[in-house]
Amino acid sequence: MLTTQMMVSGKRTVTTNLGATPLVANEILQYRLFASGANPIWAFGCAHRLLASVSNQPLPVYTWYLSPQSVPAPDGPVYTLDQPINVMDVYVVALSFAAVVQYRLLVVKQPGNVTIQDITYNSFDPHDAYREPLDVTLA
Amino acid sequence: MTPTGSHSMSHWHKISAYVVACSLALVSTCMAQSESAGQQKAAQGLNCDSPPDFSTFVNCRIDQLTIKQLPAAEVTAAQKDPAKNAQAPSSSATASSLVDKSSVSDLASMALDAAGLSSASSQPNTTSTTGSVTAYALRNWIEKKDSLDPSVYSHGLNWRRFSLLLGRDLPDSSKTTGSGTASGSSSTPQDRGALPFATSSAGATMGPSTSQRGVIVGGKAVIWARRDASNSHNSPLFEQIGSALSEQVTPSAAAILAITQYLDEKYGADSTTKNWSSTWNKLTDVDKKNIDKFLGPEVKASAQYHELVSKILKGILVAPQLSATYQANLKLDNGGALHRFAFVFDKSAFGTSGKILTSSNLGFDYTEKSATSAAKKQFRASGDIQFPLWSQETGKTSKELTLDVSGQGQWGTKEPVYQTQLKLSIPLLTGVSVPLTCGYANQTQLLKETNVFGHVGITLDLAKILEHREP
Repeated sequence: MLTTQMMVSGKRTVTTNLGATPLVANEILQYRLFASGANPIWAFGCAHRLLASVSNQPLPVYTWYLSPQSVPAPDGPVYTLDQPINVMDVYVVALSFAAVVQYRLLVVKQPGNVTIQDITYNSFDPHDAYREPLDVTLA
Repeated sequence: MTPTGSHSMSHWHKISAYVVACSLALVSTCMAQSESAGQQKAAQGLNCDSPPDFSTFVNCRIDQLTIKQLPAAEVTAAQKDPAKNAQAPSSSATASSLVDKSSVSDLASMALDAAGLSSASSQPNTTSTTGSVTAYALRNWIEKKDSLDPSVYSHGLNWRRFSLLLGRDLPDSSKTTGSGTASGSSSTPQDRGALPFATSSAGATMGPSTSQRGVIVGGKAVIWARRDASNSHNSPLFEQIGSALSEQVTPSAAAILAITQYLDEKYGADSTTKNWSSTWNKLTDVDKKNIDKFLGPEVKASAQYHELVSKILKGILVAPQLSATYQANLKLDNGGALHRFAFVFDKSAFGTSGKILTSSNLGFDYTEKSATSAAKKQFRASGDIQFPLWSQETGKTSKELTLDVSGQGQWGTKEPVYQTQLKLSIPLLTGVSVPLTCGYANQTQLLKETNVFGHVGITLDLAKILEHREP
């Protein structure tokens, strides 16, 4: 377990962080973001487009998927990769601590149930924001 | 017998103790302010040496560059709302505050105000234990829901408006006078006459009533709750924060992609992932300058985000708040229960070292007839200014040292009673603090203990403690 500093006052605790992952045609990344507090504010996107932006939709956990192709998912939206094979893209989850004191980001690759990222963020400074990147390449 | 023989000498000792205690508080204030300024400087010089992974490095560098673009005052601000009262109610015999705050902890709080520091008094010291719990916490406990679940919290504003209060005043039974124990139910009025102030009429929170066992019950209703994050008036503001955050996503992903490609090209594949430690050690000043160049657009978006968040939060945190309270201190031995009704108004402002909170109480006290005094009604007004002296926010811990300066006046059929008080709240752990108080009042015979008094206690805020649990 690795603890690092962020912004002026927050803490980021890494359980797993591969930092990068290839994705083949039949694979999918499941993102789950757990929040503790009043009003989670977060956004998700890549170097080319904003994919999701959430505020005033308080939930204990948000689920979405990143996939090479459009596939149905029962519990969240599916966003497709927009870069061709072997071209890396960076996907960022941006977290605001304006009205939340804790987030946990869990990214799992399916099938295989491989944990790519499992990171917990704590901050009492409402000005804090954190951007968690993940390199994703269509293989 | 009242110890009148040594009263004059004892009085001067107490005055000296008061002066020393207040001087110590002022010295602490100066030291804490100096430390606060130091912390602000440290924040501006955020250290990004040896970042353990690429994500930390990029975020730290963005924050470093962002902080450089921000006015110093924007760097420090507290999320905590000091109007959330985790202290004992003012009606308890050893309350560490003369003034109640407009709301309580989001969930529950407990305060233990231990024996008074005026050990020279022959009156028994009283220990007060009080707890408050919001209707929100009770409902979630009954329904087995997580109070910090955002979906539960957002629908709980009206439940958080109401809180219940319960506590006990317990006199120190070991401290006896020559003719009887102070708290013993078998003591006679004559026995109680041996206590220094027992022959006076019972004050609202003072006099002989403080040597009685008491049960404290009450409630509070927040009438105007504009500071709550789930208040609908604040939703558009959080929407704005969401938009500003969204505007950071693409620039930050683009910058991180450019940096990754740059470093992979120069130091080989996986330079920002598997081989980060090696890459970090090889980074030259030219590399760092190039990285800063890539981060330029993101830093601009980040600075705009921070300025917006600062402006919005200041607006929310200083919003006025109004509540109505009722407290009853039911005396178990000789009667003379105190009923206190009050309106509590809080308003904040931002000073150079953080948020300054002002609180005022306006209300009415009714003291029932007791074995030694007649029933009485008093008009009561009090005010408090809370100064933040020092704070520490380290992700999993949140501590704040505060100084309260307060005053109270009570007007009834007899001479008015005026009190002033200094309170230093020393943080021990997140959600746990020790209040130290010292004060002075114009009427010796009506005071809880003496004309110079001091207390030490401990307060627990369950919401703050739970916020630090693991997910």
